Amino acid sequence: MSDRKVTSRRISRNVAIAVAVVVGAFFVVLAVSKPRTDTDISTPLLGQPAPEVVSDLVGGGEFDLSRRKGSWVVLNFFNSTCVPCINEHPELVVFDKEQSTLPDGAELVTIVNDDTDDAVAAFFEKNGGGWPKVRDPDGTIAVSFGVARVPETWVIDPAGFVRVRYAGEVTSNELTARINGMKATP
Amino acid sequence: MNDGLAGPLGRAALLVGVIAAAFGAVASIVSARETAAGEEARTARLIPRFAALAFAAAFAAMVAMEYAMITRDFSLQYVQDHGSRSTPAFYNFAAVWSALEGSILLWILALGVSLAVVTWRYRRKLNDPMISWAMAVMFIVTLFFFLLSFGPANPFAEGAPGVTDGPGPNPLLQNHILVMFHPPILYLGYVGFTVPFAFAIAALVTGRVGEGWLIETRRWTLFAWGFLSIGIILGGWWSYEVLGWSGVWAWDPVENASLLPWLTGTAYIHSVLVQERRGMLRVWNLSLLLATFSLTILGTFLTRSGVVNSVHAFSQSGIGPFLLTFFGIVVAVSLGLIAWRGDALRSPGAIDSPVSREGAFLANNVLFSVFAFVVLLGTVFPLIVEALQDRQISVAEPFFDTMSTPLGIAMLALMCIAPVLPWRKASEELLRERLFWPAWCGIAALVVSLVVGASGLAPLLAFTLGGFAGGAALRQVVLATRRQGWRGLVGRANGGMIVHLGVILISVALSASNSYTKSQDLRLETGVPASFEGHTFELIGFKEETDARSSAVKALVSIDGGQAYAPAVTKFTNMGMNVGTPSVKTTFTHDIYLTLEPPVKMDSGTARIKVYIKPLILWMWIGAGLMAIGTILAAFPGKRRRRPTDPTSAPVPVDPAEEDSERV
Repeated sequence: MSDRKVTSRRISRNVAIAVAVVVGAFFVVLAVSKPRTDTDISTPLLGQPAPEVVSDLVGGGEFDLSRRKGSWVVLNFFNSTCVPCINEHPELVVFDKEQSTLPDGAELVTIVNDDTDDAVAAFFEKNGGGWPKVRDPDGTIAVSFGVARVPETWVIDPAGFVRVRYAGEVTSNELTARINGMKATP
Repeated sequence: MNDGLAGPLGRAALLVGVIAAAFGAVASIVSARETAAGEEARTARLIPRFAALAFAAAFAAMVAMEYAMITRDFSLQYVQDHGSRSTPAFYNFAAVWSALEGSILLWILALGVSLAVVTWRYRRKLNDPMISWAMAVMFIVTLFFFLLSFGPANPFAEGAPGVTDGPGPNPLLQNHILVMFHPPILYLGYVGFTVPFAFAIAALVTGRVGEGWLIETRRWTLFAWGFLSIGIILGGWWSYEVLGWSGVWAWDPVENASLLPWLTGTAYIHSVLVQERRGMLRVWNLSLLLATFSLTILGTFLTRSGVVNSVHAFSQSGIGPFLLTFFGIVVAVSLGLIAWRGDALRSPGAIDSPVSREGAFLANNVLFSVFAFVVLLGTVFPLIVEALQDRQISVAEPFFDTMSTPLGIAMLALMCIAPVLPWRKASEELLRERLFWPAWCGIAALVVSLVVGASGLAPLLAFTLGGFAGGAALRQVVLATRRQGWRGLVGRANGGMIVHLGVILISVALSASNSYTKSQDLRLETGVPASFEGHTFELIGFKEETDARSSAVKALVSIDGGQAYAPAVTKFTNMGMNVGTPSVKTTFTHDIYLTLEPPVKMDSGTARIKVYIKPLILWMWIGAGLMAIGTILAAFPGKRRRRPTDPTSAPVPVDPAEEDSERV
């Protein structure tokens, strides 16, 4: 009887200690978890060949993503009225300028989302940016990538595979650092 | 026009709140020690003043934030990020809690309200060390959230100068009236669990687990639980009405974060009855309350630190480490107290027979605990894998669906039998007699399901058990009302059975809509009706609506030649975001759920409309209403309630309602 009492007296303590060990381990896991940048989001296309991008350019000419193999390509889905797009534009200008000085610099390409040629031309006239602007008149390109909202920025590697998807504003530093990181570890 | 007052006022209010909560905590602890030492509690009279001050500060901070939002005070970072001149007044009001900093403010207000109500309720008992300790815990929790808001999540931080307009709240949060109600009600639920937590800690500190605290906390828990239930269901309703994927629940981490405390809270409101009646499970009940509160803090951490991917993701902020530390402290204190006190406080006595009401409550607790564990595991498993193997995985619906279906069926099965079980021990004969009508209800439900063409093992089982459990719940209510009139509807057992009926309706509706939803993409041409599942759909035309913040295209679709429904795609120009808005025709048997699929071309005279036919959805909302009514009825004092809890050795008193059912 007394034996039984002693063991049963310790149940709460032992259970509490066991729970503490589990929760402690869990706590460590949570403490080392890196917060995700909420702009860097997942897509089923990550690591997959990029969908086809074949269309006209605003102001004339044609664009075909598959012909850009061999270079890093940054696709920026854009609309001239969206506030985040306007906010991020100066960063893209800086990024484009920096990359154009590198021998293996990334090529920046804008995919126009639901906007008129005139508005896009006027926007770039005013804010700068000489890179290609691809027309996407019926949203085919945006749909094939699964773009949720503009701006979105996708990085395609020289083999034509999707490597990163950003939703929302990006910065030049983030893009450069990310691409350099991927160049270093193929 | 704004006058720039909100920022300084809000910051001042938060500072006052920090000071009031800190002093309140100190005063409460000093008071508890004075009374424990047998001295006159002179500091006790200070407690209400600090509580009132903390409440006033929380209220003032909220008012200041609303004022800033309403007057479009773009000097504040928060208004720059989430306000806009073009947001309609209603959504602008709700924009205050549309993002992290403001939601913490709402949280603080809910805490301030609980603090004030608890102080008022126990104003004559503040000399009692138990109440003082509970107040101390509440003040400390309030202090933590005030500090969070005053420091790392300050909604009154100054923004960049010269900003004159902002993007407004996320378009999904300016699309439906429910954004007004879902967060505050959910927060009342979350925050409400602070009160039972405070009493549980106080009970452990003072060692008074046998009486008192239980009576004080049961009804608080019931209200917190009720708000949490309704908040969760409103979230599902919002998802259904706004998001356009026609579902109510996606096992998203934020949803899981609200489900976890709900599960442990549900376990508690059942097992506490065993303690009330038999004096058993004292430490277990305390542990459930401690776990429930810890899980609310863990949920807050998971959803606001950005460690998990979620559609609810709040913007990134630095508050993660603070919340995690607080979670660690809460768990460490709880476990420490249980380890220190638990064994001395355990109640004598054991369960006589597993086939008894207490046995059923125990089974209920096991099921709910396992469910909570499964949900927690699924939610954090990606984090564990990432920490150990540095790769990203996601645990999605298949895992949760696979795990929750058998658990849900087991819970329904328990709901069939448990309500008719007597305390202590049931005889076979008694069971046969009491289960007779409920079982026939189950068979009737099965027959009806088969007649209307239902198939599949899991749903048929759910319908049969739903009928059975509904019969068991109705039996209790019918017998009780026959005997006692309107009093047969109130009190724990009877109100609880009304809640059961609501839960059963929701389970049946969920099961039916998960199993039998049909959907199809229709390409509609103007004037050419198309049919699907016995309904005809005809595109009448398009309608365009434009205002300062957005432009919407609606496709007018007539269902069965009747009224036109208008699924829409709205483009929010400030955010560059397209938001689809479904349109739903609701009937008692099924909903017809329409969404307009992009790309939308008005001049083409055609539209892609996705049609979902979803059975029994309306019953989910009716079930939710029943749950709310039942919770209120259960909290309503019954006759037996005012008696103090009897010691275990006392003879078991007979519940009038139960006496009734035992005679039948």
